[in-house]
Amino acid sequence: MKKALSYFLFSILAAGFCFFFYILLSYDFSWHKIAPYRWNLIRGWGMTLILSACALILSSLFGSLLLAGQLAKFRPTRILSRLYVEIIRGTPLLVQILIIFYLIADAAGLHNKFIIGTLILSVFSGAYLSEIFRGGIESIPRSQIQSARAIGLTESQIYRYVIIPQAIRRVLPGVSGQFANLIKDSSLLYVIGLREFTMQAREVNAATYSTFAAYIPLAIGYLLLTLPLAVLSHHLEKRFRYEH
Amino acid sequence: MNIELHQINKQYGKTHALRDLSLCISDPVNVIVLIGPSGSGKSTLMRLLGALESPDSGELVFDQQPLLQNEEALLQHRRQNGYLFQSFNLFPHLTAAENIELPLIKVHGKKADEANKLCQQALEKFQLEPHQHKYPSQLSGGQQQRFALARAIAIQPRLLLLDEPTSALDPEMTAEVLKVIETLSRSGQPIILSTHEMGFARAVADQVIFLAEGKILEQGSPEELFGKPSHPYVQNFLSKVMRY
Repeated sequence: MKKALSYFLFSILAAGFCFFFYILLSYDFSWHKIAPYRWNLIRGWGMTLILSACALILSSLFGSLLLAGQLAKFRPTRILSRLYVEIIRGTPLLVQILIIFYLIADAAGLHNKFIIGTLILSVFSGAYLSEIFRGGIESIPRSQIQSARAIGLTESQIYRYVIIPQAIRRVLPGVSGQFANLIKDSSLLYVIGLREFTMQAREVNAATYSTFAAYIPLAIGYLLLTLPLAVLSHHLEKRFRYEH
Repeated sequence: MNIELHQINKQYGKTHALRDLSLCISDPVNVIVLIGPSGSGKSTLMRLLGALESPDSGELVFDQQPLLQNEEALLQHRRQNGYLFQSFNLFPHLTAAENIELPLIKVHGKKADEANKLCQQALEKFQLEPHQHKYPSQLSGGQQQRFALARAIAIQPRLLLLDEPTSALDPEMTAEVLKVIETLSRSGQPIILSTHEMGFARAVADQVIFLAEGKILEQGSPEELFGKPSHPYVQNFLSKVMRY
């Protein structure tokens, strides 16, 4: 029965893929029209790569800070961190981009779009990351902390040698998913005129009227960024595995 | 080992775990066994003796030195003693040997090779060398408890506190852990043990303490306490549990 079900699922998926490739092959994409713009797309891809890489690092820092805020002993710090996370997670990224770019960055005298874009993505993704981190840390059983206290570790040593090493393994799938989201979310930064991958594809589309010839490379380009991340995450999950 | 407790009280919410408990133990008593029904306050008393918690009121005195109830003094106290819980003592992300070396290196400041030497000595004592590179999930419950015991004695503790160390084990594993504890007690290691294993309590104890409802009902040598208990509650309890 189980076998029959997996054969059935396999045939549906295989048929779906075949149909998809059939459409791709039979449609006239007029690839030649976008050829002159290929460097624009490649430059955009490079921009998205660098932007995402910077935001990845900065958002991890941000997420860790927010996590520290949420675990702090001082109650107002906890409340403020919580409030921050809920506001960022509860409002659309588009609105946040507009507010940060036109109101906050402007008032702060910040005009470099790359820096602002990196900051926006980090502020946004950091909120999600801090929740993923918190879930990982709070999933460590109380008995582990008891046992760590009993052998005489200090509070910070308990985090460093007992909680965090175990939490890393548990948060990896969530974190890699959030990183993939971050890369794709960077596409919204076209609204502030940052010349990243999606903006370039839109311009190519506007100039050539060949929508799919512009957007299919866009999809492939994003996959080239997200797939290695997924592979790396699976590899790390295996490395940090301790249940046998 | 001299231990004095004066008027100890400990409450969890509305539950009065220990009530005005006073106790005096002095040399040549080496092995103290706490017995009594579940919920009698045995674990709470163990946790106070191990400085894992503070009493609401009262004083603990070890070798004429009152245990100050501040974080630094409690930490120092925990570092001198070994503590074993019912289960989940080991850290699952470290191998058995790493579990033993962690406190030696991080808490007691030993160099890696010195820690390894002490670890090997402890393992030799319990014939655990063949399993030392396994992770806790690859060990039986009895082996896990023996490794946890090895970790506790590797630091050469002043006092070994064992809180129902065999309650989560089947009879065969219980026997293998009890054998190790017996060996330790013979070697002159001061031990306080709480247990439901009456036969074992009788065999190893120098002094038995019977606890019920947060109070000491009776205290004496195993011959006195098991042979002719004077308190009616103790008589009743022992006649019930010893029947089978």
